[in-house]
Amino acid sequence: MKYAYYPGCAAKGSTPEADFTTRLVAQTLGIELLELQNSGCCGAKEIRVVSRRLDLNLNARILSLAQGLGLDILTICNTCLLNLNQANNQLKAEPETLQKVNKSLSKIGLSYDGSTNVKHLLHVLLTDLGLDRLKQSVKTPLTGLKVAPFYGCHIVRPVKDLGFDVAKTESLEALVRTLHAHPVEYPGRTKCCGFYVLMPNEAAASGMIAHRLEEALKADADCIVTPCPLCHVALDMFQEQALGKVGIRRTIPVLHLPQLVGLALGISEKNLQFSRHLVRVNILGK
Amino acid sequence: MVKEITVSIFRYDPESDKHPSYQTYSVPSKERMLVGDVLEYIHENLDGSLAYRWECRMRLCGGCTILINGKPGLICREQAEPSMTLEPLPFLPIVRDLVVDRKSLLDKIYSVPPLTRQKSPVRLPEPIAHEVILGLRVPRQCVQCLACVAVCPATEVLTADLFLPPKLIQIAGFAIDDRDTVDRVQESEESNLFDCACCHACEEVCPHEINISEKVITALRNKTYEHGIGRGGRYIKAFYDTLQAKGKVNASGILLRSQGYLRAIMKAPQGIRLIARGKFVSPFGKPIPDIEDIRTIIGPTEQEK
Repeated sequence: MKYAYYPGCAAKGSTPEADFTTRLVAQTLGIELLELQNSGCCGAKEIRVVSRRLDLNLNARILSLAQGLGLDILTICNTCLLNLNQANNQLKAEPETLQKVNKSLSKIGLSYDGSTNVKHLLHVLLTDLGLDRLKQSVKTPLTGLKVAPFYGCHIVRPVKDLGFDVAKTESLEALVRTLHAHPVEYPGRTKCCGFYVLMPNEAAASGMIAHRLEEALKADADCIVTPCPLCHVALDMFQEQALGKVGIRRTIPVLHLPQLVGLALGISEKNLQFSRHLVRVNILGK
Repeated sequence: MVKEITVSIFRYDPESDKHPSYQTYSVPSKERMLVGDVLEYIHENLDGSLAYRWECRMRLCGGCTILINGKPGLICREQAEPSMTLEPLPFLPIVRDLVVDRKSLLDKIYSVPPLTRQKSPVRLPEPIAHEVILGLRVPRQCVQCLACVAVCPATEVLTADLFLPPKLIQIAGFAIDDRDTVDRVQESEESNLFDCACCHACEEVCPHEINISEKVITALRNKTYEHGIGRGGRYIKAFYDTLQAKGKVNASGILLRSQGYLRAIMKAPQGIRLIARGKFVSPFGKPIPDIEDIRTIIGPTEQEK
């Protein structure tokens, strides 16, 4: 198993621990990652506002870089996953658009033929590696740990763009069970963390963050696990102030997906870089 | 043996009940039975006191939306499931059982009059471009069923006074109409366009499958950006400028560009905590080595459709 690794801006900036632990987990599980150097940003939800064409150009460049390596893309960011998939679907469905985008790419010596597939780490663990193989690699079963699976929006919706309904198939719950932990049931699992409102309206985002954390706390979870670094930014970095505003003094640690997997694989707490989180990770020994 | 549908229904009459309760019914299952058919069977055969709305029966009036197993849907569209819990829409006053008073929200949506405001008198014949008509069809599919409102995280925290997807759908419909004379950019800014969390939850429940994120939110934000106004327009420009400068984005760069040094300094305590944990990315950091490639493909000359 070898992939063109595209961590996205957040994992290279605000959540370096997500990038670091993905590499460790991949190495432990025999998944080879070849990072797409200099791949830049996918445009998130913002560049398409400037122009859909610019968004397509950015994503086609990333897809083309992976095509050059002859590898599928593995990303660890939900928004990158959705953007790359949406661009890929459109470029495959509209030959005229692909031609125009290739005209732009030709200026930087690239071209794209529509052959790259884009997967999230969660998909790779579920289908390419398989939960059976993951189970065999578990060294420290997380028995008794109550985990609130928080999918984040862009790995769940729109299903037609993503091609795989991770929430309906309860994939994150299945993965949590594979690690011998217990996935708690709660209403917030596929709701929005508010990340994209943080910059334009922090107060509104703070309300969304507080709702999601409260839902997990009410379900008596020991921690939240998310496959998206953007959700991690919202739920960890802004947790204290969001809960403070609604008068809640308890906190709940938020783990990146590779951190939870890494914990079960026996990777040390130091290497999982919990110390980088703003909310103390106090789940060890539970 | 006739298969049965077990349905648990929210019951509440504010005039006589102290608390809401749930009542369970068994209904003989038929092929291709809609949720509305189940409610009609109960009303006609089991319990005539059950209140629900079922008006046009063809997905056009938008009046029959309820929560079906927690998810909003039209009872004239959704297929009945073997086991169902039916509840009224959230956020709204309950008239009785599954019937809510929609007026307060509809009034807010209709504060955008459903008319193109044209210069008067209108000159006839009135040419309308084909692409405008195609564009207008999308928002005009909205039947104000309020399903999107029930799942919107922005409406949940801001209350429907401040953020209502169907209102933005109305505005988007007029914003692309060349004949319209109202400042729709201003109107959408005042309707908190940039508080949309881009979560796509609305699209998942829209019975007419309106692509709200692209055809409404992104389309209106594009107009706001082009006019360069408001906090939203500044934010998008800051994101674009950061990407052109660095090839990647970081919060500090966007914050500095969109809100200025003073506001950025007010965030310093948070910044210091991030520095301590190795999570702070300087807005003055180096661009990616292939920055010229990024600049080439996202420059102004590349924006043609």
